[in-house]
Amino acid sequence: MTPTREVYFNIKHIWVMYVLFAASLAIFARGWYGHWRRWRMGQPTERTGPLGARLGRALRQVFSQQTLLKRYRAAGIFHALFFWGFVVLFLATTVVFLHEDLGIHIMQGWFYLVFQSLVVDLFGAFAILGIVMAFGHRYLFKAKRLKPDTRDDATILAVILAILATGFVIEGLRIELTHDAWAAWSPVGRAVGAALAGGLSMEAMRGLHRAVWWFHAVVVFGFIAWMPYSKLRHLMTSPANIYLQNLGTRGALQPLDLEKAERLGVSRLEQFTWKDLFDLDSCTECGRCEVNCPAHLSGKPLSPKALILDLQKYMHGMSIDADRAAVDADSPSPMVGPIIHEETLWSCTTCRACMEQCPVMIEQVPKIVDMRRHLVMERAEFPDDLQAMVRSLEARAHPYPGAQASRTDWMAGLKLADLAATPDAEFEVLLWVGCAGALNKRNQDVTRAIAQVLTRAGVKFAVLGREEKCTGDPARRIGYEFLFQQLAQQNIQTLDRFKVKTVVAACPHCFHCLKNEYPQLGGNYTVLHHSEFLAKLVAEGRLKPDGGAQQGPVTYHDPCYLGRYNGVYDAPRNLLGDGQGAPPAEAEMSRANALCCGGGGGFSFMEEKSGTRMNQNRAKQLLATGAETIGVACPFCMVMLEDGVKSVAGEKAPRVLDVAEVLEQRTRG
Amino acid sequence: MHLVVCLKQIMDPELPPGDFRVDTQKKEAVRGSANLVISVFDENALEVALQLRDAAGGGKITALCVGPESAVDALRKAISMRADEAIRVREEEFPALDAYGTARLLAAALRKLEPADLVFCGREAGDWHGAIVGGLLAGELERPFVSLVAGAKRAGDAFVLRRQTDEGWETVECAGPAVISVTNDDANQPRIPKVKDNMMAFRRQIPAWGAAELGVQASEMNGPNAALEFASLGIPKSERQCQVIGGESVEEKAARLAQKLADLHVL
Repeated sequence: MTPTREVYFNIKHIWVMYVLFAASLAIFARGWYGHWRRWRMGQPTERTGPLGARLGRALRQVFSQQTLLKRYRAAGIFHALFFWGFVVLFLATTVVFLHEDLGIHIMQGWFYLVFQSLVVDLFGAFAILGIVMAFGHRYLFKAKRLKPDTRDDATILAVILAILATGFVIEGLRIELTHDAWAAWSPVGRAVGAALAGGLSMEAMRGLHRAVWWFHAVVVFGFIAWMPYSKLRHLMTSPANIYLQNLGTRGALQPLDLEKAERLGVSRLEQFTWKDLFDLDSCTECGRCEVNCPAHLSGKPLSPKALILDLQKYMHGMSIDADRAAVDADSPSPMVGPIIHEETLWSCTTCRACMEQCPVMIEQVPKIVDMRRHLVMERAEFPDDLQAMVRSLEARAHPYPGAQASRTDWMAGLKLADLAATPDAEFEVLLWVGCAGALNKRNQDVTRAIAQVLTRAGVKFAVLGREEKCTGDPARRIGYEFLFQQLAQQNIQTLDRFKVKTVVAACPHCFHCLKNEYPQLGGNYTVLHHSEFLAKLVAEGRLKPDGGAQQGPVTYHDPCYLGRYNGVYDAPRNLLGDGQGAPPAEAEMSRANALCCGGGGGFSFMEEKSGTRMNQNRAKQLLATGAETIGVACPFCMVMLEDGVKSVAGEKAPRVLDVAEVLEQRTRG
Repeated sequence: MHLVVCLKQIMDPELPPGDFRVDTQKKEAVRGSANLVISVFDENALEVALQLRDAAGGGKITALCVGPESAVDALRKAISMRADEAIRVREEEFPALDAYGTARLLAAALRKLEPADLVFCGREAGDWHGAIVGGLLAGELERPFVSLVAGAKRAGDAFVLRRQTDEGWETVECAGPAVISVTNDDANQPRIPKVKDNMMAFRRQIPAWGAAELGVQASEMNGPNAALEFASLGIPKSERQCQVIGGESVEEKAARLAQKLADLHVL
């Protein structure tokens, strides 16, 4: 006898099931149609091709569950359990459909035993295990990032558990009622059946089987119908969003065509791209973004999760039949202000922790910058501190109002090729000093250390001196694209005039901008951060550092624009030495998870008006390592963390040194 | 309501001290790498005018500048902040201008313009700090002059002007036409232009008037100051000296300190 089973055993009036199924599909389709129409309100953007590359990557990322397993591993494991459980159960249902409805009889023989019985049985059990863990995670251990709990959250877990549990009840009862000869292939179902059979008559079991079967069917159809109307929509939108992920340069903001743009930035929902709108429906409310956001952690009025969910709620409440074309462009924005407050937008350091954490690749930072662009360029509304910075950028091409130093002060006593003074000087690499490195007193020391180390290694380098201007990064991050492009174009002209090929940037913000954003405006150079270039010199033997005994125990703080934005984690660590040959101690939250010092996105030029100080929060984590030297690789981090550790640890505060300063000390011998 | 704001373009006063040079022969500051900006108090004056016009719900603002070709940038900035018109008076045609000459030239331009209800100047220029063009202009025009205004409102046909004094604030009402000089205040921090306005201003042609357009002779514009001569121009050197004042008791130290200060003529 060929192993198989009767699909609709003990069930009468099976047509009722088809009617219910059709109804649930209709509700399902109607919900998705509504979403589809909302996404279509968005502006065009190219995110669908190339199919092969996108599909391969997305399938790998979705089926491996890698973004979930990378961090918060417990949650990753239970999600993977019910994800895989659901995949297998969905395949099993498809097998039934092929076998019963299409008459393709595959549900038999070894395939029936191995897959349809054993594998399905086990994965069903895995899924139950996953759901139970999820319940515990949310309601027993009360994971902070999942707050606030909604009724939907509990209902979703209960519904999934009900589907899985009733599935086993049905299976167990069928095994008992039919004296299934292949019961051994369904160990979990058989155990459930045996347990139920203990106290029930055959007739009662028959009745119970039928009742539970219909209950199971109704709950499943309810689940399907409810999907587009609840967080469950992520079952479809999250994998799709991963397919639609940004394949362009990481962290490079989209340039605006200022001459042609009808409006600057985003003030209304439909001015976002359709992908931005799709993002809103992909959110699973997992809260990973929120608990890693330096603004949220310091009590600022920004949570990336709330931002996305507020926009989502607003989108769902929108009437999509309204004639949007007739909306007066000058009418006050119903979104920026009423839905997303200005203070929320001004709380973001653009540190990218949210985007790094998001398992479904939602892009929060570009949305924030788009709305800032509206505030800054259309409304000319921004915090007072930033106005002073902008004025300085406009008049003096640096963001430090009231700076007493000039761009060449730091060079005093050093013999350097300054292209502004000696345009014909020969050089191989250009040292991009940056405004902070030239004008901020503490960072002038860092710049001097870099120059000294480069000289020691025999590198033929030059600086632009007075010809260097701000890269425009602070302007771009606060949304002042116009000023960014002006500054960038001037710098590109200067760099091209001196035929610069390789740039070593002493600031991660300059580095990111020069490397990843200048190409948008026609400036193409080989750009390295100083830590990368110095690590290369060490590796090539052009610098021979000692053990670094004078540093004592060291730790390292990853700058956002070097680490998360550009994936440079090891080069700066390699420049640190503690005399013992041990790697730097890792602070709580490091590398891609590093907590921002609070200096990005214009924050170096703004006073923090609410909550606790971001730099102190980070300083506490670094101090907890017990290090005597805190290595940094960014002038903003330097200023923020020096201040942070001093205010937390007082006189006993450890030294904050740039990795170049450490290397300079290690190569004096 | 027609408001005219007189602007001067000056060398960036925030130039780092280390970069500031003077030509002791020519007796003038060397521009070097310094940027040119609208003189700070003139920008405050423009902001007061903008606020006055916006509150009144209408009116026209003309920015007026006696300056070289480069001053077009200052006027474009004014346009980007939403001044309606801008006129440059070609300074290059009037080589021997002093404060009197500048005031005469501004008066000539004002006579050619649509009559102004209120003329705005900065409290003083951010480079030479003469602080007299406003008053001289009022004299040339034979109009009342109100100095050190921080804010202005329209009240019927008159203007209510909030003035800063040594003791505090004074509110004066003044019928136009009048000339006022503006001082800086939290309430008149110059606005940052919207990018659209910035881009439009960038394309704006700024008309320039010379002696012919104004119907004046360059020589008429030399005021009595032309008879003055700069003796010398230099950068003051700042030096620090430290002296420790000794003594047996606090009283003795205090007495010696007082004597020292008296010797230095600071007490």
